[in-house]
Amino acid sequence: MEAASAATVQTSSLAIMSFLIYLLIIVVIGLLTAKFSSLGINEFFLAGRKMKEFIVALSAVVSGRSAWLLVGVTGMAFTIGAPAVWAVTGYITAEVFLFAFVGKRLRRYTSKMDNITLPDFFESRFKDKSNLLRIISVIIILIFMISYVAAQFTAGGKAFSTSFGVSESTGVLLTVAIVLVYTILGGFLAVSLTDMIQAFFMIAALLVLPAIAITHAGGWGEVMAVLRNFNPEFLDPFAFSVGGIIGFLGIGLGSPGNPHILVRYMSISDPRALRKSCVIGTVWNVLMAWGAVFIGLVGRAFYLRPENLPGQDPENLYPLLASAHLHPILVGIVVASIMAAIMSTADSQLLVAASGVVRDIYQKIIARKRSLQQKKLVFLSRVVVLIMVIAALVLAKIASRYVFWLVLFAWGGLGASFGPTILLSLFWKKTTKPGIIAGLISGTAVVIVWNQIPQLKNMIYELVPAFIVSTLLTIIISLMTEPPREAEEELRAISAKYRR
Amino acid sequence: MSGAEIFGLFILPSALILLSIALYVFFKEEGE
Repeated sequence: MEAASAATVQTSSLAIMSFLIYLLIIVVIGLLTAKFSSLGINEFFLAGRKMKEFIVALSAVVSGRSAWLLVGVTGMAFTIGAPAVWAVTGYITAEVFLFAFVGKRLRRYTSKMDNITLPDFFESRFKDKSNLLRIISVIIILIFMISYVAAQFTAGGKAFSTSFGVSESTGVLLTVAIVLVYTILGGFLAVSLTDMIQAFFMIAALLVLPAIAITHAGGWGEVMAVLRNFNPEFLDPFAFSVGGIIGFLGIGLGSPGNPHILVRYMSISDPRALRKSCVIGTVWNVLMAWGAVFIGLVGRAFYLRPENLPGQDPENLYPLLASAHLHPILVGIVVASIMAAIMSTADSQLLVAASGVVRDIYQKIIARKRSLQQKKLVFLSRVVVLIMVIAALVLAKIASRYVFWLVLFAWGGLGASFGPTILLSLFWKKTTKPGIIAGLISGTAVVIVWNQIPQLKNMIYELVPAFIVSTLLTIIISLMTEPPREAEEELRAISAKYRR
Repeated sequence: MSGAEIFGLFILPSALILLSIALYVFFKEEGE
């Protein structure tokens, strides 16, 4: 294998055509689901809790995987080698337990109490009449979700620009236009169905590309020989610092606190079916993740040094390797898979942010004494999605250089504030409202402060210490205060009764 | 391939899938 010099991404008209077919499928789904989603906000934000296990599995998995997996993890495996497996192991393990245990309890409780959003859940669980829990949660969701969506739009602009040669700002506008059409029209149902289609594009690209590239290299033995010659420890996952491995595994702490993943579990028609979703989702998660790692490894064998990649950037490896080894139609699918990862995350986040405004602030606080027509609420939800998109666009314009910083910041902020508080609320009867407030605020504060101090940030990813502080404070403050009287009975009602 | 390489690239992903299958098999609920 020889290193390519001045390699560039080549996209033919066939690739553009297969990409356009993908976009057409996504937009048609938005059009077809618009009628169902217009029935009411339960349908618009949660698809009326009628989703089946297969769709929930795939939607939950791809909503949590942004472009970070396709361009970030492939680039990371190119740079550091096999230790990149630790960056994916943490979140996959966390999501196995979310599917199997946490999701069921959350679905049962929220269905019983007619909760549509996580702020709804907190209010019901802690009998909070003051709206304090609702307001604090919505503020945290809005801060981090808009940052997150902005990062997705920026990544979409970069993907369009690298693959099709349009300017980055045109690429951002194209990404926004596509996401906006099907999210506004079809709401949660369109988002879940398109997520399912996007999951197929992502897994196809992540499995086919390394398989073909390894064959072109002369087989796995040849790839290993080149990598060993380059660095004997490149394929050893343990050739990495202990702190680095812990930090990578710590990424998984974000999964239980990201509302756009949690609402997927709330939408399933039968909570017991999450057992099946667990297997389907984990197989998908594992295949996508290790596909990304193998792309990085085989890419290193082909290109050897970052200087041989476009812009000397390992994050350009994925489209580059595809354009060098795949048929143009498959190159179109690879580009589609990057857009799929971006859009499947952005659409779910937009809905969560919009539900915070419409359901939690407008319906439950501002207009709580009025009887509101469902159709009016759906219309308002669509307007709010549009406003959220504009807000994210403005942020994307200001902070376009910090795309992955925004992703990690938002993933960490949501994970540290909602993760411990949701888990304790669902599994510990002594959790109290003051404890949750302490956990939400401390998780957010530690993420923001830790992120701003370079010495701390270089030590470990801010999510890990923030998660620990939030958990401890929730427990300590809860032990000092009185839990709701109904807690024990409510938690017993949602616990699973397993066969002996 | 060394043991560590086989672990990272093949055993670890298989173990995660097996974990989900084990939970599927051993945590059946009443009425299922």
